[in-house]
Amino acid sequence: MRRWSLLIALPLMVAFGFGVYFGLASFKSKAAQRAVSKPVTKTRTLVPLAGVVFMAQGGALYRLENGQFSEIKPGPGDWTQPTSVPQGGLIAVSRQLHFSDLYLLDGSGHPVRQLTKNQTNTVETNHWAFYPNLSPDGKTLFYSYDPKDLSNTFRVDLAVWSMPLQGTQAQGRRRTTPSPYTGGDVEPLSLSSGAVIYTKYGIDDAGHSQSQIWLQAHAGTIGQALTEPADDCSAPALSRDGTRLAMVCTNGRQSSSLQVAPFDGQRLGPREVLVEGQLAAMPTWAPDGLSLLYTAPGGSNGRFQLWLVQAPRSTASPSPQAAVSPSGNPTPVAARQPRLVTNDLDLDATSAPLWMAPASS
Amino acid sequence: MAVIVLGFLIAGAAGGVAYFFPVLRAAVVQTGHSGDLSATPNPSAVNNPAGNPALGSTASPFTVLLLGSDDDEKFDKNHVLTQSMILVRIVPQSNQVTMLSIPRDLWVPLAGGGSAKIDAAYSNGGAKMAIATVQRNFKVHVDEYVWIGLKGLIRLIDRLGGVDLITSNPVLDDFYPNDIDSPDPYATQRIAVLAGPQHLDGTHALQYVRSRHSDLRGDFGRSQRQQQVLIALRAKASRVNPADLPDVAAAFQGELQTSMSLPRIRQVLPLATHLTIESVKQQVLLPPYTSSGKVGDQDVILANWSEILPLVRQTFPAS
Repeated sequence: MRRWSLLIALPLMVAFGFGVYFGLASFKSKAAQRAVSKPVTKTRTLVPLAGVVFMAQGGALYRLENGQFSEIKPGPGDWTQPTSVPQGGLIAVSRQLHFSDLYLLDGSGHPVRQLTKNQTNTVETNHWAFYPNLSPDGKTLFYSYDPKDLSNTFRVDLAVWSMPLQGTQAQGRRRTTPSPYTGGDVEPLSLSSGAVIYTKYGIDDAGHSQSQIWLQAHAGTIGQALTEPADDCSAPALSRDGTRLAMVCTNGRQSSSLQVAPFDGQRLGPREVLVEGQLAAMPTWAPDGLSLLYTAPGGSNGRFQLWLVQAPRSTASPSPQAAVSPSGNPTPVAARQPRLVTNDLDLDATSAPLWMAPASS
Repeated sequence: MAVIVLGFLIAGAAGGVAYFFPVLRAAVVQTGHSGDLSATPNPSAVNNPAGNPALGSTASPFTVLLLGSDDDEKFDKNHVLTQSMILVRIVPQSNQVTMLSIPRDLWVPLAGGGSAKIDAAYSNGGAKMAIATVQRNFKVHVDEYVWIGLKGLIRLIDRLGGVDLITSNPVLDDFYPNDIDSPDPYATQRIAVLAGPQHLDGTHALQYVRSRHSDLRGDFGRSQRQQQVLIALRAKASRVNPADLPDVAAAFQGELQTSMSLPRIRQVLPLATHLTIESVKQQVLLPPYTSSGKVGDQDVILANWSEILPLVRQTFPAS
């Protein structure tokens, strides 16, 4: 009888040992777990969004429409930073190990044309192209590109370039002069006036890297700062009517605030803080201008998700005194509670979501 | 009946030991390395009558020297340079942390004799000489040290699920070393870590903290980025629990050494949850603390000790 009891108990003991092992493993924190690899196409949005939203995750683009995600993977490389084409379709970045190129895609995400050719056989002579943006008339493509400095091969700074959409990269022209060894000029936005808003990186006398929203009225001119260096603002996003500029400012901290200011084409008005205390990144306006999408950590896996926040109406006028807005003291957070749109994505936070109106509007 | 109960207890204990085995192995192999910590008295361990500098009370402020190294095939395993040296002063009572990055090219007299860039100290004599060189030149006492290799940093960040941080500027480099698990340790690659809030895995976090070719501040810019990632790591570490430790310990695989004993680590870990980013003071020895210079045909950083030492004394107790 005793022997039988031991024979029965023995596998139970082994099972108990394994149970303790796996029981302990079940106490692992979510912080240390790898991102949930649930397919994006199986996720559901928590907040309905009108229109079509494009975003990037894990090297693929995703189209969100009517609450359904569909994957767009037009070819090799990691696809990111989609932007709209007025005539229809998208332009996006395909990034590979040593270079990246811009591609024109049709409405279904199929490649129509390779716009840049930045691959070479020598590692250090490859080029990057990021942050594509089309002029409002759809004729000129603006982007960030790293021209080579023949006097110092260690220098790699991005500058804003432009080229005709229907032309070739050989017709590309450098639009801005980046501060040397800072990372350069990125995130161009072209205005109907021909001006360009972009983010300019610099380094102050104390050795701190800082970014400013910059406005260049004409190609080849120095332009003017729209924000102070200490505000450390980047990721400009212009509302569709061109009267409000959203941006992300960090004040040199490891925390960002999403801010909006009125814009008259030359100057920014007082900035209003919409979101604070998150790692808010890459705002983009709703087609109707009533809200903003941005990315920030959250959801069930703590990774970058889509968030939605109500936008302020355009009431204040830009300051007539100075090009640089009264900075450092933006209006405190209004009663706007950001809403989590997705719960279990792992978005590429360096790629702004693209929000387009429904096809009928 | 007693035999069966005993059997269950042994089986349960075996399951627990198996689960925490990576921690136990790391504790034996990687912790409690003395370095040169017993060579000088510890003025900060005033509450430690035993005089054991490695086991001061958590109430006592203490200084840690963080060493980050190349550990690729370019170097003999036991003679690697330090890419990063950061003195960290932790004051548990006020939850304050000060980080002082020491430029890797700082030209100093080495504790073992002769002068060289300070990154050679670890290569010449391991943690012992690195600590002694820092103590001698900066007139500070080091209570503990932590050394981590490049692969260890990548694995640590990956095991913690990556880090979220705001990268300060686009970090672009056409000659970034492609020496991690590469057949050619002298190979290079192009990198582009874009700016702004983002999630970085271990490989991209290493690119962000290691690149220095296209930064106006050179090694100083890299030092600032290293401090950013350390703060982000601290934030991440504050959210892990004891059940995560086997994964974290397994990540190192010989890529970490520390003088800290297990009791010390157990005392220090809870501090991470109380620290805020605002309580971390970051210092980098830019001019006027240092200047660029040449020694022979080497580009080096020259120390302005009359400026550096008063700065260091504000935070770090003298040796």
